[in-house]
Amino acid sequence: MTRLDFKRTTKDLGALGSAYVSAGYQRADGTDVWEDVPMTNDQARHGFPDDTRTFVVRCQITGDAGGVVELEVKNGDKVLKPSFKREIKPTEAGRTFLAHRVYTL
Amino acid sequence: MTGSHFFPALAGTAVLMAAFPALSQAQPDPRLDSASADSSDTDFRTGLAGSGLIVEAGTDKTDASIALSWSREDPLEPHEDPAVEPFRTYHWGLKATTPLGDDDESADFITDRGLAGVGSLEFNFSVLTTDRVRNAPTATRIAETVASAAAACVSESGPESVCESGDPDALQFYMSEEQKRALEVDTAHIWTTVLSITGGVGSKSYNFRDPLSLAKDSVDKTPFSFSIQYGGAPQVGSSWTSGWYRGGGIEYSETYEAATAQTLCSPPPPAGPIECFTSPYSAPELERRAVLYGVLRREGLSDRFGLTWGAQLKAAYDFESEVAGLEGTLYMIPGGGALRGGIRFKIQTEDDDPLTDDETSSIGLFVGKPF
Repeated sequence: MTRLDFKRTTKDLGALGSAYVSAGYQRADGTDVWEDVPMTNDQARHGFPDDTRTFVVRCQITGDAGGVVELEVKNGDKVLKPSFKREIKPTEAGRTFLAHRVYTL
Repeated sequence: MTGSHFFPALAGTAVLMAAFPALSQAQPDPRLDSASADSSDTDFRTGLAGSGLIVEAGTDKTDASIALSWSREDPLEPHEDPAVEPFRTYHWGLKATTPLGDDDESADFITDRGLAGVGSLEFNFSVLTTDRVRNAPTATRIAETVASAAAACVSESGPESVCESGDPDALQFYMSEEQKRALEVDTAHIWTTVLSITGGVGSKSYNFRDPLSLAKDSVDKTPFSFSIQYGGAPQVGSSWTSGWYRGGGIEYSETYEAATAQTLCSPPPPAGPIECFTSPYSAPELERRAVLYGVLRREGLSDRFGLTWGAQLKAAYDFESEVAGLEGTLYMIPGGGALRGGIRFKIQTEDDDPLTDDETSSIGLFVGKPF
């Protein structure tokens, strides 16, 4: 199993702000699957099948006051690229956005 | 078992096609449980408490609080449909408050949850629920589109930071209209709701004097309050209505209000001076409250003068004392700054108890530092 560590940093999202992380990949049978990466105090460890080499990380973001969301994805000690940062302008507050990054191990 | 399906992927400095097999469903490991939540909100009244320090100074009271919070998101089984159950986060919060200075005369506003001017400990449990985006694209579609756009970016000598971003938003310039449409999502009917339960208990020693002997006396009281609040913010309508939290709640509290201070003098003694004392001359009165309230709030109201501005209005009615109150808060969040603060005003009608002195208006400042 491939284990990834996720660390989320949010700033100024506001009381109703949220940044939910999911990871998507393709199963052996060809179906797409999304798995929630639930965080406890902004951290999570998540496992993928060993042969998974490419996956998409999705963050559904609502900024109640604008704000910034950053996500660090690590495989062991290695921080995966690309970086994941999404800024919500105050004028975009209250709206929901989907941010994606494609990662390959 | 080896997977027979593939989708393109972006890797390092080049675009490549990567095999995408899977042996079984991923099994999440036990989640970590260490770091503190990094929340921007340090005010219990907004429903979700962050961790931080808050000092509030007003014409009615001055107090300092420390709040600690924990959060945990609801796990869900792997799914193909992006529109399955909404996301949920559970928040637990503790807030300890101590009055600063002599708060014997603290005013008691019905929007204050009955614990103004006393040392108190509050516990909050909140459930934040957010709808999922219903028409989100599949992982395969995103990966294929990103790989194709990244290849176009490289072939057109686009900026390396964009070509390697793995970000569909950044790579839009290198996508066809059809590819862009395939990644569009509809967020118009997303709702975020919060159910919040808060309980608090306080402790305060009230000083008063016996009206006959004028001797000092004191009594310890334990006020408490309990409230439930529910509300939500939709993303429908115009920019003036979307994103506004609208909620309501009920609250029950038992608090104590000091009697109005009076000046009494001892009877003329056979010898010696007459002594006069200004003090309450009876024990504090128990005040039960059953308050119904409504809240309207938007934190990201505008972005002017380097600050993010927000506003909240809270209207309340106490069925026990038949007092109506209104509280308005203007939030100010500096861009990139660690501190946040605001201005709060309160007004309310007078109760019908002639034995207590009631303030009917207050204005104050608060500042918080999340950690």
